[in-house]
Amino acid sequence: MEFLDNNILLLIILLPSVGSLFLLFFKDNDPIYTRNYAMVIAFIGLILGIYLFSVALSDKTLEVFSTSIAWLPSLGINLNLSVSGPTSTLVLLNAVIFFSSVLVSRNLEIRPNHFFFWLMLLVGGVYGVFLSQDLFFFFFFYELAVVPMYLLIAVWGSSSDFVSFIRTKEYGAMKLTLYLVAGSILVWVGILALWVEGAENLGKFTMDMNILINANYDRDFQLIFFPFFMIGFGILAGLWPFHTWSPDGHVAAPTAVSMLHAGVLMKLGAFGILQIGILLLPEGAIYWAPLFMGLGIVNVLYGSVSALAQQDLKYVIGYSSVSHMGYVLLGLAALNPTGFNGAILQMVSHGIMTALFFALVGFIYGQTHTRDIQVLEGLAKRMPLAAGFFTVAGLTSLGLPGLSGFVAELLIFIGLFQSSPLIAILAIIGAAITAIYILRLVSKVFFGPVDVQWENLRDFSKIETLPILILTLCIVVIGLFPWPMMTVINSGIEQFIIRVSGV
Amino acid sequence: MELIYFELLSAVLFSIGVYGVLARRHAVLVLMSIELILNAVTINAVAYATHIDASGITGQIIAIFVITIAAAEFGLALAIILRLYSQQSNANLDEANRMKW
Amino acid sequence: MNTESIRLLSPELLIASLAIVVFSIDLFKPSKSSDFLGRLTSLGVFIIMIFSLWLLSGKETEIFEGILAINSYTTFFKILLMAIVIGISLISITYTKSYNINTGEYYAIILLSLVGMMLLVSARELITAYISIELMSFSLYVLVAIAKKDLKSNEAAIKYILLGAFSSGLLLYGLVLIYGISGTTSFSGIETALSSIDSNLRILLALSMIGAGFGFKLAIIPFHMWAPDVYEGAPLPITALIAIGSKIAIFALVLTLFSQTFLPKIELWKPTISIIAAITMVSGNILAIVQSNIKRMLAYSSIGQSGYMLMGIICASSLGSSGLILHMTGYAATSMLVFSSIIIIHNNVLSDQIQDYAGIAKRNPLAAICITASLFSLAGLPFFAGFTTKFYLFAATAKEDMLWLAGIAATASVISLYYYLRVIKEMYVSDPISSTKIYTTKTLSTFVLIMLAATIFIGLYPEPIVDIIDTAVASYIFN
Repeated sequence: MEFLDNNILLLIILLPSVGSLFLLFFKDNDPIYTRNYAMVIAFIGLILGIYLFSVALSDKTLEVFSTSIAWLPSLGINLNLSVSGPTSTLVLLNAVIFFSSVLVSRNLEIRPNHFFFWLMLLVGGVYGVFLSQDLFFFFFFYELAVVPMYLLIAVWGSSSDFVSFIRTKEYGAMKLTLYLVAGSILVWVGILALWVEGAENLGKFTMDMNILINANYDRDFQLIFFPFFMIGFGILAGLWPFHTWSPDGHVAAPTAVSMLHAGVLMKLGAFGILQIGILLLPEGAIYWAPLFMGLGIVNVLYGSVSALAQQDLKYVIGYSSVSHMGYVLLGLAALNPTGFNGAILQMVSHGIMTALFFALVGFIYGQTHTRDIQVLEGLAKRMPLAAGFFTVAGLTSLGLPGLSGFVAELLIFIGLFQSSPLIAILAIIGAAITAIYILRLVSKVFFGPVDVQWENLRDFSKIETLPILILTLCIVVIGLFPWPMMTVINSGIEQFIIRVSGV
Repeated sequence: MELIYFELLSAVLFSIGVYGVLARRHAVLVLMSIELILNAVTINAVAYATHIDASGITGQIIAIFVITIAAAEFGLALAIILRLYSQQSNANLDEANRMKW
Repeated sequence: MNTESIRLLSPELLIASLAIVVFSIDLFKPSKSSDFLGRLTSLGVFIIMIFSLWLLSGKETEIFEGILAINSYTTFFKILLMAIVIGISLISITYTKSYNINTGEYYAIILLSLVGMMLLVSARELITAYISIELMSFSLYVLVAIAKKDLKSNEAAIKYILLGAFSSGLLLYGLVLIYGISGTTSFSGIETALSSIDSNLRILLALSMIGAGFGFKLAIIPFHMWAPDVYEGAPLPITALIAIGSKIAIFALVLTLFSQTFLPKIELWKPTISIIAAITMVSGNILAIVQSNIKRMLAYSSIGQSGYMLMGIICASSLGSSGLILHMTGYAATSMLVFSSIIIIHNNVLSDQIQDYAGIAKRNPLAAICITASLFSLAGLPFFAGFTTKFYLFAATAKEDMLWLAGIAATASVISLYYYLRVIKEMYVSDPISSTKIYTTKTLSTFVLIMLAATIFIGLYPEPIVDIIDTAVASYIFN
C-alpha cells in the first residue's frame, strides 16, 4: 500500500499516456475490443481518482502522495508531483468525464485504435497538468493535452453545413489548434522568464513552483509577466476576445472529444491562471484584476447573448461554455477565498454539466442527423429519458438550487460582491439570460407537438444510459450535498489566499 | 613593397569576382569569376606570408592548397556544366529554372 | 608525425579505406553491387563506429602537432555523424534501385563526405578546416548530381556547386584575412591575437566574410537560396545527408570557432547574428507555408531550424552550447525519421507533392504515424525530441537576457505547426488516391521504428545524452 501511495500520482498519469501506446498495435477494425481496453484504463483511473478524493476527504494528509524524480538537474527540472484538495477534485472530474466519454464513443467507424490513442494521450496530459508542481512538466503536459485535439477533430469530427456557410471539421480543428498553441507561446515565454528571474533571485536553477514561490519577483516583473499567463492560459479558458475557437471547435469535434474538451480541457486554462499566475505573481494578479474581471464579465454576457442567437444545438452549448467559463474567471479575479472556492466548484460543476450536454446532443444528433433547433421539435414524446436528462443539465446551467451549478455560482457571486458589487450584479444578469436561452431551448426541442419526421426515434438503451446517469448523479449529489467537496476544495485554497493577501 | 598594395590588388580582384558571380548568366563565366575570388585569396595569402607571418611559410602553403582545391573544384563544376549543356544546349543559368521557390 | 597521431586518426583512415573497398568491389564485381554495397557500407561504418567508441572514449589530446583535436566533443560528433551515415546508407538501398543510381560511386562518395565531416569537427586550424569543408562539399556536389537522367538533379547540382564554390571563396577570403591579422592559422593562436588587437575594422570585414561563407553552407537567410532547389532536386537520401550530416558537422565547427576562437570579439558578431537568427527562423517558416512539394517544405523548415540553432551560437555559454548540441542530436533523430518515412512513401508513389500524400494513413499507417510524430517533433510538441531540445535551447537563450529572441523562436515554431498540420491533414483526412497498400522492406520499417524510439527517448528522458553533451562541452569549449 505504501508503494502504491508513493507512486499513485505517477500511475494516474502514466496509465492513460503509456497505456495508449499499446493501442497502436491493436487491429484497425476491432472497435469493441479497443473500446473495452480504453474502458478498463478509464475505470482504473476512476478508482484511483476516487481513492485520492476519499483520502482528501478524510483528515489524512495528502503529502504522502508527493513524488519527485530527478529529470534534468542541470536546468533544475524534476518531475515533482503532488496533490492538494482542489487538484484531487479536478483529477476526479477528469476521471469521471474520461470514463463517461469512453462509454459514449460507441459508433467509431474509422481506426478506433488511433482515436483512443490520441484521446488517452490527451487525458494523460490533463492529469499531468493538474498534478505537476514543476513549470517544465506543467507546460509539457499542457501541450500534450492540446496537441491531439487537431487529429481528433480533423479525422473523427464532423463538418457542419449551414444555410449561408460551411464549417468544415478541418477549419474547426486548425482554428482551435492554432489559437491554443499561440496561447502556449505566451505561457512558454512567461515560464522562461520566471525561470531566469527565479535563478537570479534564488541563485540556482529551478522549475519547482514550491521553491519559486520564494523567489521574490519584483513588482515590475510581476506586472509585465502576469498578462502573459492571463492571456496565454486565458485563450484555453475561452477568455473574451480569444474565445472564438471554442464554439467552432466544439461543433466540429466528435462527442467524446467535445465532452473532454469543454469538460476538462478548458479548465486547464483557468487552473493555469490560478496555479502559476496567481500563485507565483500575486502582485501582478492584483494589479491586473480589474481588467481580468472586466474581460470575465464580457465573457459571461457576450457568451450568453450569443447563445441566445444560435440555431445549432452544439453552438448553443459552445457559447454557454464560454459564458460559464466567464464565471470561473470572475471567481478567480475576485481574489478572495469565496471566489476561489466558487471558481473551482464551478469548474467541476460546469465540466460535468457540459459533458452531459454534449453527450445528449451527440445522442440526439446520432438519431436525427440534425442539430437545427428550428427543425427539432417535441422530442420528449419519443425520447423521454433524453428529455429528462437534458432538462436536468439545463436547470444546472441556469443555476437551480439543489443542483451543482447553484452552489458554485452562488459562491462566485458572494465572492464578487466582496470585491466588486457592480460586476456581481452584471454577472447575475448573465445568469438570467442563461435562463432564457436554456428554457427556450428545452421547450422548443423537447416539448410541444411532435413533428412527424421524428416518429421513429428511439430513446436510450440501458447501456447508453449508464454514462448519462453517472454524470447526472454527480450533478445532483454535488448540488444536494456540497459540503464534502467544499471542504476538500477549501483545504487547498489557503496557499493562494496567503499569497494574494500577503502583498 | 608595402603590404597595403597587395591587399588593395586583392580587394579589387575580389570585388570584380563578386560582381561577376552576381552579374554573369553564363555558367562558365560565373566559374571564372569564382576563380578571380580565389586568386585574390592567393595574393593575400602570399603577401601575408612575407609581411606578417613570423615563419613566413603558412601563407604559401595556403596558396598551394587553394590552387589545388580550385583545380579540383573546376573539374567538378565543368563536368556538371557539360551535362547541363547537353540537356539545354547552352549553359545559361537563367534557363535552368525548372524549380522555383 | 608519430604513430600515436595516426592511431587516433584511424577511424577516418578506415572509413576512407572502406570507400576504396566499395569502389573496387563495384569496379571488379559489378553484378554484386546493388543491395550488397548498401549493407556493406552501413555494416562497415557500424563496426568502425564501435571501434572508434573504444579507441577514442576518454581521450583528450591534440594530434599532428595541434592540427586536429581528439576529445569527447569531437568524439561525440564523430559517433553522431557515423550513426547518421549508417542511417543514410540503409535508407538508400531501395531508393538507389528505383532510380538506377550507380551504387559503387554513390556509397563510396557518401563515405568520403563522412571523412570530410569527421575531420571538420576536430579541426584546430584554418587550412585543415577549409580542406575538410571542401572534401565534404565536393562529395555532396557529386552526390546531388548522381541521378544522371533526372533533369532536376542536374539543375540542383549546378546551382549547388556554383553557389558552393562562391561561398567557399568568401569563406576563404575571410579566413586568409584572419590569418593576415593574427599571423597564424591555429585556432588558439588566433584567439590570443584577437584579444590583443584593438582595430576592429579588419576583423569585422574578416568575420563578415566568414559569416557569409558559413551562412551559405548552413542555408541561413539571406544566403539560403540554393537550399530549396538542392533539397528538391537531390535524391532523397542525399537531401537527408545535406540537411542533417553537413549541417551538424558545420555547426560543430562554427560552435568551436565562435564560442572560442572569435569569443574575444563577441561584441562585433553577437548583435548581427541575433538579428539574422530571428529573420531566419521567422521567414524560413513563413516561406515553408506556400510550398506544395514536401522536400521544399522540409528545406524551408530546415532553414528555420538553422535559425534556432544559431541561438545556441549567440549564447556563447556552456548552457547554450549544450542546448545547441542537444537540439542537433534531437534534430538528427527527428529528421532521419521524417526522411526515412518519406522514402517509404516515395518508393511507391514516386512523387514528393504534398497532395499525393492524401490518405497515406490508410495505405501505410506506420509511415503516416512516423511522419506525424516527426513533424510534431520538428514543431516542438511534447512527447517527442523537439519539445525537450527546444525548451533547453530557448531556456539557455532566455538565460543570456535574450527572452525576446526565445519569444520569436517560440512564435516561429507555431508558424511551423501550421504547415506541418497541413501535411498531417492530407495524410489522415483526405481520401486516398488509390486504395492499394504501400508495402516496404523489413530493413526500412525496422529502421523507422528505431528512429521513432530514439525521437521519443530524447523527448522523454534526455538526461543521459545531456550528461554526455555537458562533459563534451566542458572538455572542449567552456572549460
